[in-house]
Amino acid sequence: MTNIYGVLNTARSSILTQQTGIEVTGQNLANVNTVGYSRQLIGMEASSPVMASNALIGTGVRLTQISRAADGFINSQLNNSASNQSFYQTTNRATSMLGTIFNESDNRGLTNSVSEFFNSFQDLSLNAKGMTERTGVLSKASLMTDNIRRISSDLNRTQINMEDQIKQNVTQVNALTSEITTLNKQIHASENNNVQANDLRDKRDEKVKALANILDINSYEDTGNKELIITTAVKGKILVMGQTAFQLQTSINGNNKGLVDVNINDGQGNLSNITQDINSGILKGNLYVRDTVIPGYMDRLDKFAAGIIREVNRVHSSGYGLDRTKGLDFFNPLGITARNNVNNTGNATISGTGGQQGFVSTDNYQVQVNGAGTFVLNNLTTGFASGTFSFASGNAVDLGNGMRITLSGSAQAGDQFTFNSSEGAASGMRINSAVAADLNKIAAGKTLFAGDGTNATSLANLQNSLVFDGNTLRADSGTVTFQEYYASIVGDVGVESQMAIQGMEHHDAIQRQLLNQRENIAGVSIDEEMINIIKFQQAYSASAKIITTIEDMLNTLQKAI
Amino acid sequence: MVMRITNNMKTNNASSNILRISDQLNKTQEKLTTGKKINRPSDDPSGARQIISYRKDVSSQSQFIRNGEYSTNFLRQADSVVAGFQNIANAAKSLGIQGTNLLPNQGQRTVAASQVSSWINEAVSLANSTYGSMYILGGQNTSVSPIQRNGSEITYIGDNTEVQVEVSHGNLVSLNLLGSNVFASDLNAEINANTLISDFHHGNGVPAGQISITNRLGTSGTVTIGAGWTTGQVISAINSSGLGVSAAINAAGDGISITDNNANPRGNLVVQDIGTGTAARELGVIGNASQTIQGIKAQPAITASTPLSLLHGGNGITLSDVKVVNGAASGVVSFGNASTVQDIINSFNNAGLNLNVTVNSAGNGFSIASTASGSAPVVLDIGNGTTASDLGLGGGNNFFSTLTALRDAFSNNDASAISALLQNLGSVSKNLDNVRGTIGGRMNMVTSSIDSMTIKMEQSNQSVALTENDDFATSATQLATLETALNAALATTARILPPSLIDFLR
Repeated sequence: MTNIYGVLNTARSSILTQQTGIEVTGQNLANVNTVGYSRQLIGMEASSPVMASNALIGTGVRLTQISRAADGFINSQLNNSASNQSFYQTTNRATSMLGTIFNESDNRGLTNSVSEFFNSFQDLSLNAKGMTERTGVLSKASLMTDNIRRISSDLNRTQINMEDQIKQNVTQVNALTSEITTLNKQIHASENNNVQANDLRDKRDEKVKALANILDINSYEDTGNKELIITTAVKGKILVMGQTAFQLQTSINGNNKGLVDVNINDGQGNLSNITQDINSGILKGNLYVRDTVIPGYMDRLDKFAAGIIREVNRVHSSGYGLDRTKGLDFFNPLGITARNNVNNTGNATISGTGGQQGFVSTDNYQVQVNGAGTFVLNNLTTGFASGTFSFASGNAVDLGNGMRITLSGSAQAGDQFTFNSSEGAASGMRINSAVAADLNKIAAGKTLFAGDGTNATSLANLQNSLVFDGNTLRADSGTVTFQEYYASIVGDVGVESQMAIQGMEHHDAIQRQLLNQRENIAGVSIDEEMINIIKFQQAYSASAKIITTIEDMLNTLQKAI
Repeated sequence: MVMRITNNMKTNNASSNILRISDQLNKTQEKLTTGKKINRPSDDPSGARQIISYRKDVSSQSQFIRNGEYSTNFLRQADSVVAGFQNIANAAKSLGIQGTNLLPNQGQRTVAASQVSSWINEAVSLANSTYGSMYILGGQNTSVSPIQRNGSEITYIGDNTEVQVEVSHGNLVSLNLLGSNVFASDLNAEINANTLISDFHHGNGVPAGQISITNRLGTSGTVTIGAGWTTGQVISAINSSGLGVSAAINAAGDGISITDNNANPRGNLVVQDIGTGTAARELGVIGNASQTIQGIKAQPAITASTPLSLLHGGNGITLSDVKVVNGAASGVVSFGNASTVQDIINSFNNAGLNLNVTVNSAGNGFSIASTASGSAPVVLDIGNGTTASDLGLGGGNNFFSTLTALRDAFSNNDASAISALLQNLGSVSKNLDNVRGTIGGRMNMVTSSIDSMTIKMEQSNQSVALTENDDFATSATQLATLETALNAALATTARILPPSLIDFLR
């Protein structure tokens, strides 16, 4: 037996469910432009039938759940691609900055000032005692040194800028991970009773993507408590474990000019260094530019400046000034920068001398203590070992490359020290104040005669001598000139920047592709939602028609009575 | 299932396409407005690199052209100076030819002598001509006037090395001239252990004093130089300083060098004067060098005992017989096995020709006088010999001593001297011809180097232009294409985006 009121109930369930359908469609349309929103779907099922005279009769419709159209695979692809895309975006920004610093495309770049500097010695060789020519040499020299110092300080500023951004990135990561733990907690609480926390999940996905923008991560959901666990992609160091976030923390690296490293705090104050484990994202971009790109160019610019300083000084000090003095350096001579590795077990400290010599090597060297009173000298610029030396604490050791170093204190086997004569050559490049103050001191002649301009000719010819072999400065036995060496720096800046642009374009395309795929699944289509409105509206109207029909039927019955 | 195309996909695609085209338009616009296809290194790294090399080439090529233009002007000036000498030499030769006719008349004789005197004065001012601040005829010693006048004696005290200019890479052209090749010979002696330091610098000498030496180990010491010492004494005083440094006559033989032989050097070898002393400076050993300080030229005056092997920069002098005419007396002077300056003086003075030969005031040649009255001695080279001119007594490069002899011949009414001088006057003007020829040769070299450098510079500029400059036609076409693409993208977007089901439900 069917019940006429049962039919009313069926119609009621339909009206309410279709109305929910309209509500969900409304929510979808409202969020058509919300970033990260996943379209929501209403799930319906026929409610349990009842037995009526040997047949099961349906009792209407039931709302099962409101789910979201999301594809976990595409989301994790999107996160990976976001890390790569942001890495290239970051390096592109920094390298295009480098392109501006090393810009030679107008005729006012450094190359031009270097040429003018050497050519001013040609002018001087024509009229060795001319004060106008001597003033010319000084002004072209200061133009060149200003240019080199400007490039050096621009590089330095860019590096400091990167450092600031790294610190900001760490703060951003910490904010994101703690927001994710809050969302984990909310989702856990909401989904306990088998409902889907769609909007909270969308929000959490967005936070995870923002985190993936900064560094490469892996994330997976604990199926039990619906909480996300996030680890670093390399080595799987945990960032978020359910409702606990492990904070990133910076620490100063004494072996890297006091710039910061990135660590994960395990909650008990133990730091584990992950600087080398970050492989992608904005943070990696900033680290890569700060620790690899800029130091590389700084080193090469320093080698370039050190080369000019050493060679010009060598030739200049062999000539005579108008005041008959000889042996003056034209530029302030090079000094030895020596550093102790902060991880050394012994307490020995290093110091060096000899930077002012005309044959001093400008390569980077590393001293590695072997054990009892000997150390191995490695040339880091060429990558070759330069021999084994014995030493005693406090006594200078002649290394044969123009430098002498002293290890004071007790050195333990494995202790490392680095030193070179070129570090800071670019930022500290200045004309010797004795020469700058007295034009007569410019050594144009190889003899005391005032008309002798042969030393000036030798100085001018330095620009044609093959001084560099790779990054190693050799006096005459190199393969490229000063300008060619500098041109190779500019060329490499171009290649670096071009690679960043190409990488960015490549990953932009991938990102666009993946976003379209995500849109395909999760995006809101207004047309589709309009169709749904009509669908639900018609069902709603039809169910209402049932009610009016039942009403008619009841009226009929009442009239019969 | 069909691909669901959502509104966001449509808007994202539309905006990314429009932005991409706009970006390309921006790049094309930059190319067209700057006229360059490389505006930053990343536009074309290898091109950016090449441009730097080309630019450097252009810059050094234009400098070489500048050097060449400077040299041309300098050589023109030098040529006109030598031409001035030549005019005087030719006039003097004509006067010499008329000479014997003029002699009987006291008035004409005096006029001729004073005419020659005024020529000499004119030539002295020519010899001191400068280009800018550089003496044209002074070698590298361009700040001291190359002429020293001492009574009637005119000597060259300039340097014997030419100033050279680079007109193309590694190609040096000598610029100025040595007075010793033009108007007064210079025996250009070197030093040996016996050379007195008081004879250094044309006899101006080195004062006594103390010099400070700091060796490469950083130890300093003082060496005292005595007045009237020989070079050998200076060397042994430095050698016995206990500083591990050794002094010697330098490789060129024209100065003293000091070498530091200490092992494990920590610094440079430094030699300087103490206080206001000038001993080290005048010895030419001031310096600050990593191992050896090469001393500078001592330019010693020759003395009676100077060996002939030290002359002409250590090349020695080949002596052939010369003819001397001294009034009525005349004869050939042979030098036999002369080995010192004194031997040469003896050969002349003992020839029985009433001669008195002495070292000149600059210590770089000889002067000759007659011991008999009323005669002016004339020294002539025989055949192809150059001894008379080398010694500063004959013609050739001895413009001044030849003219002085002519003047003396007129004032002494010495007919035989005038006839004899015709030969020397001839060789003087021939020498000047040669000098002008040399200048012409240098001028040719400079001009051809300027020409080839100009061509090279044009090529380098062309290379810069080819690498850097944008091809206007290509970019303009590209601009038009991109404009069309942008219009199409905008039009498509305008058609695709608005329609929605809503439009049809009303």
